[in-house]
Amino acid sequence: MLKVSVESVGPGAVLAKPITNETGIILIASGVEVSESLKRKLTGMGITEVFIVGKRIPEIPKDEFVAKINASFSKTEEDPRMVEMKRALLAHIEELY
Amino acid sequence: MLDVEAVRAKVERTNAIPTIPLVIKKILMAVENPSTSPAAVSKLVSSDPALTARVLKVINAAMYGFVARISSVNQAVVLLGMNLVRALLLGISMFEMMEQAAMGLWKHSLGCAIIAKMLAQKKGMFDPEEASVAGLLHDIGKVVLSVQYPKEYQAAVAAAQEKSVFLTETEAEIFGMSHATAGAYFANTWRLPKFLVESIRSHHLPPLTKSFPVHAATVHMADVLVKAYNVGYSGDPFVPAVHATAWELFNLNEAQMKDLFSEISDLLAQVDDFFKASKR
Repeated sequence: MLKVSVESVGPGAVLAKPITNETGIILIASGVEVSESLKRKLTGMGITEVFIVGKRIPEIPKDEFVAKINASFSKTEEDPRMVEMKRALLAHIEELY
Repeated sequence: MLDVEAVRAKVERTNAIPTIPLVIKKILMAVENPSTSPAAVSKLVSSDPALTARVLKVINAAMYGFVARISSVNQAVVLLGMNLVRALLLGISMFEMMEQAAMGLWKHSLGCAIIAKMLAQKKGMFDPEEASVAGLLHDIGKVVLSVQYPKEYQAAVAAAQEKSVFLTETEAEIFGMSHATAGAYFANTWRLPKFLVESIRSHHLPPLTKSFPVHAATVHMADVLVKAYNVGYSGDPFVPAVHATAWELFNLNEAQMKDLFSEISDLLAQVDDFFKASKR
């Protein structure tokens, strides 16, 4: 899921979260494609940002992210559960970039 | 080491802090009294529009996935109940006192609230909103200790980095208690709901609580996951090991754990956005 400005939404993008009014009533459901006409409608409603389906690349470079994780897991290297958790986390990070 | 009884007394006397803004003081006094009406609390909070905006923002972020579902303090009381709103107001007021230094901890806490709620929803074992509030306030002891003992608390955080040990160890050396214990004293004094007192006390060691083991295990798991993902700054240089009871409760294999991290990644990215928007 990505948060992007309405004007930057490209063709084919799909809402990852519904558009709601102030009281939480759903106006446009998630899964709806953000067409040019919907973009105009959203802008007219004063909505400037939407969540769309997609993968977000973290701002932090991958090497730095992995180094941070290695450092913060360094006290639990003997713990089999934490070894498993760290492996899962690193596998997830591989998919992020 | 400071005298344990003196630390406890100071932790329990948070309403006597001289630097608390008047409106917060009034709110703290009002929420302390269980017979205060919801309307009276709403009125007090609403008298400070900036505070109202911040409180509603936090509630919507932590409990409703950043969708602005709650638009007034009154509505929050109706939906969440007076007890949870009291706890939230108290927690938010305490964080407000830490100001800038608390940003990292605030981010960690909000992340923890969102993940705890997600875990509770997945397991369907108890009210996800309780999980969210417990996640948000699990480290309230750090806030209380650093408000009451700013120099000493900074020293505890620095010593944990320097000696490369867990923060709870240096806290014990300096205060004779960890932030988990201090937080539980604080929550108890303010008569917060029992599930909160117990999850705060036991978030590093879930079996400590007999009455709320699932709440405690959920907050503990969320805390570990947020620390693992390196979002925010809890003051702890290391990820603590997941306790066996929490691990068994959630019972995830490696592939499921990886999927869980993907979900967490989405949720925590929103926490990032929330803090960027707040800075503007």
